[in-house]
Amino acid sequence: MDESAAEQRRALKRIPWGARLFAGLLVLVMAVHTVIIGIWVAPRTPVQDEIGSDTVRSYVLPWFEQNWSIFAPNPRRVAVTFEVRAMIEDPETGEETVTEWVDMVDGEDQIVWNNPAPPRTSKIARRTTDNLNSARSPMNDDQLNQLQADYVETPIAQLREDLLSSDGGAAAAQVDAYMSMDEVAVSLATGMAHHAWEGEIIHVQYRTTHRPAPSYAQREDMTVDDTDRGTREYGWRAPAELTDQQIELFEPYARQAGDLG
Amino acid sequence: MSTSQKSEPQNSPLRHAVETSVLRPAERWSVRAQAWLLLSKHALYGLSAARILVGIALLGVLLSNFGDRHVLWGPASFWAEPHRASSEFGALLGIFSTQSTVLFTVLYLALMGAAVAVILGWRTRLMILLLVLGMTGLVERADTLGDQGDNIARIGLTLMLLMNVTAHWSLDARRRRQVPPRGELPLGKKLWYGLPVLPGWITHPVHNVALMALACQIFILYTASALYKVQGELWQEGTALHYPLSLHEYGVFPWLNSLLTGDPFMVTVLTYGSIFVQLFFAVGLLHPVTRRLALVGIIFFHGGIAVLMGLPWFSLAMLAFDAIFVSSRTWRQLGLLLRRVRAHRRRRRRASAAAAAEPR
Repeated sequence: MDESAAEQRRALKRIPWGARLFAGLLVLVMAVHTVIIGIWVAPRTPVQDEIGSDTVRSYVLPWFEQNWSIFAPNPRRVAVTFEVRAMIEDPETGEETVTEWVDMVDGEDQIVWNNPAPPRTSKIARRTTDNLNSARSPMNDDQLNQLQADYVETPIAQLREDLLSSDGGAAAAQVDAYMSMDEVAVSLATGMAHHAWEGEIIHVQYRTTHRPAPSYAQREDMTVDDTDRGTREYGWRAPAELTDQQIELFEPYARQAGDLG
Repeated sequence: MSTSQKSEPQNSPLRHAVETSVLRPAERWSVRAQAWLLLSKHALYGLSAARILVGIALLGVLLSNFGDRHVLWGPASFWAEPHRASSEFGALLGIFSTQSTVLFTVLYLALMGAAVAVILGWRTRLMILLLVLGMTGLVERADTLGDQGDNIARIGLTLMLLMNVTAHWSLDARRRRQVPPRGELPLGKKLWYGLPVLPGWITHPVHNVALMALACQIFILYTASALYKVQGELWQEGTALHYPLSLHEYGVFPWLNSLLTGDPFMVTVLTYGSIFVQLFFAVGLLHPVTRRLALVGIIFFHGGIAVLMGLPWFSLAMLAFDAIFVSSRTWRQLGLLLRRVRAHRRRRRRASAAAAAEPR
């Protein structure tokens, strides 16, 4: 036995036995915690089924929330747009005009460009498109068509009913996920409209596009801006109600995202 | 050998073999495990470095979003309201829910103050608590804009509440050194100076077990990241990095991205390298040589993400906790190196100042 081992033994003798029990319990708690985190992070396994995914979920969320399938199994390879337009009434003539589309992601791209520490405003519209795309993915054709209908006089709550009346497709929770995303999209469109166009906002509309990054083999022939775009349309919506303060504080972002100068 | 020993049964060869190759080593391992858990706190340098780095990462998030704070999380973040309705963080989101821009800014600045206090190691446990609650309450107000850096910072800081993360490079450590050497202090004074109030056999195992939990968390994180990647065909084909780096979303320096991924050798090496550093991180730590390779690899990996993808704070938050795997000896050497460089600079400054003052 070397010197330090003998020293350790002597030091351990001075520690009460309860300390070992205490430390043992801590190790046990740590092991259980780690196993639960491991189960949460892993794909679905028989172990998770056995413990119950709700049990695992209720332990992990929200404080230990984590997801490590980042850029996996395949990395992000799609560029998107989030475009908005509005129907504007001229307060003097009462004439109603439909504006051009403004892509807010294009402005967000400019925020990233040459900025080694870009602010999170570079993701507001981008992530909204991503979230809209996930929200619509469980929908059937009938429901997808319904999204293109206008809800301007009819309250938007009716869209939820109409989506739910479809056979199959997205279930109630999934429809609710879309309804929240619609609310996000409409409020962004409204905030944008206040700064992009003069006049009273009658309705707003949003649409998204997606286009793939060129494959590695095509990298010298084209960029992500040259590939074909798919468009996803949504109907006209009543604008969100915003306070004067909200509109005013939204301006710097609106100017960047809409490239309004 | 005496006859009395010969007659005793424990001298049988089997008994002897069991004793020397099983019982004694087991007992020695048990002593070592107990000593590791109960006698002292581990990774004190690494944890102090992790505290500083995660503090810088969160301060960086707060600074780089300062100009946009109202639309991201403040009175103009109306757009994120539907996300909040489904958030599980509930009451925490209320911390920053004021409609007053002044109050919101004051709270935001206070949170930056907490981050600075954590970096400096001032009243650190309280400041970590305020930082982790405030940061969560802030960034989760727009969870759709968040990233895994937010999550790992929250988890790591929570575990840090159970550990001593101010042993080095901290104002708390300086205050502890200034304690007047006069017998036993009353409880209030001990708390003021940040001296231990509980016995070591309670605080040592709490610290060490939290350290184990943090280490396991990092092993899970990297191993899972790598295993999810190897399933993807673009990672297998060695071109995965080309795709995100060709998007405007990650186009901080587009010319640099296309320079790196344009070359077929480079893109394959970087793509495979990204998987390997994560996959072999945990096992790499087991051997002193591979441990150094693993750590250097992970530094380059996160450095690459930081610069190429414009995610410096995410990368730094991830990297911060890897600091616990750098040995105390290396941290001491780094500290020594830094001091020498500073002393050298000071000497040179003085010498040039003296030369300038000399009459010609």
